[in-house]
Amino acid sequence: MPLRAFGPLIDALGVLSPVSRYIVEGTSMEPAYGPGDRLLVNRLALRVRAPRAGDVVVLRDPEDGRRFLLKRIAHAPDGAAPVPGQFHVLGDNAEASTDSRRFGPVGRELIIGKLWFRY
Amino acid sequence: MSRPRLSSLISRGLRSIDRIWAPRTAHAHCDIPCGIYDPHLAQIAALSVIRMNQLIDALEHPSSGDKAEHTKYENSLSRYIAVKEEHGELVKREVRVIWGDYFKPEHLEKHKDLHAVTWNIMKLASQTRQGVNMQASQDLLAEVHKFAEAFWDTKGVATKKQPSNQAVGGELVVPA
Repeated sequence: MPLRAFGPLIDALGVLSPVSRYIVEGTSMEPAYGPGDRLLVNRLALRVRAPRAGDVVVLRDPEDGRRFLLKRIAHAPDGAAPVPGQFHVLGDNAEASTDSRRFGPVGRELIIGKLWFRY
Repeated sequence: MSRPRLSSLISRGLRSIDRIWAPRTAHAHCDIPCGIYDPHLAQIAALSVIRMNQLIDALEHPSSGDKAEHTKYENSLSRYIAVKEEHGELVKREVRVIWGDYFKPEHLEKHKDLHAVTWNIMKLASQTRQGVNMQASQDLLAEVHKFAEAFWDTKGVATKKQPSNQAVGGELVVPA
């Protein structure tokens, strides 16, 4: 039986997995991460403690729930009061990044996990 | 097992999984609304329109009835006109995108004539297409220069005019 017949089952199991694999597309996190980089993401780390500025995370695109984004958690912009449960994300390569400067802070529930390592 | 060997083992293991079960894509991406605007192309297009007018003006009408001469003339003239059409339209498109997508209401406070300059660019670009109009093409470049200066000013960037360094002559507004 071809592997793809198990597709829906595998996706369901993926939700339960403590880690997820992602491959990077785009340049908004250069030079740290670039197209083709394979990343293992820890889905549990951010349940133990809240996302912190500097964490590189995978999150659901607030503008398109089917896409995943790779960004870094940032401090709230100057003058903005931090809101519990809301996080600002920025791409390291600011000129080539669509991020919280455009779509505002994201809720905790959109953040899938924290980058563990590149493989 | 030493560090490097363990991590390469893990790496190879994960990559084999990738071959049968594709990883998801994490987009480190910039969508089209990426915020990269530059009036340079509009200026190049305006200079191209001037250049075509220069070339059309320099074209000698064949004096004889020689068919090959006439064909050569018609071909050259047609190509210059085609390029003039294309670049007149390109000026309009480039300026429209920056005017519509980049400029914000607060910019108008300092650059009160922005809409008038943009409108002039549209009118002049059309005129350069409708006829062989060297004056309109020079006026078009002048308005595009004003547009470019306003653009860079809103970014806090000082500008200067420098020679185009092209056969057409003329100038470009560039960040100083």
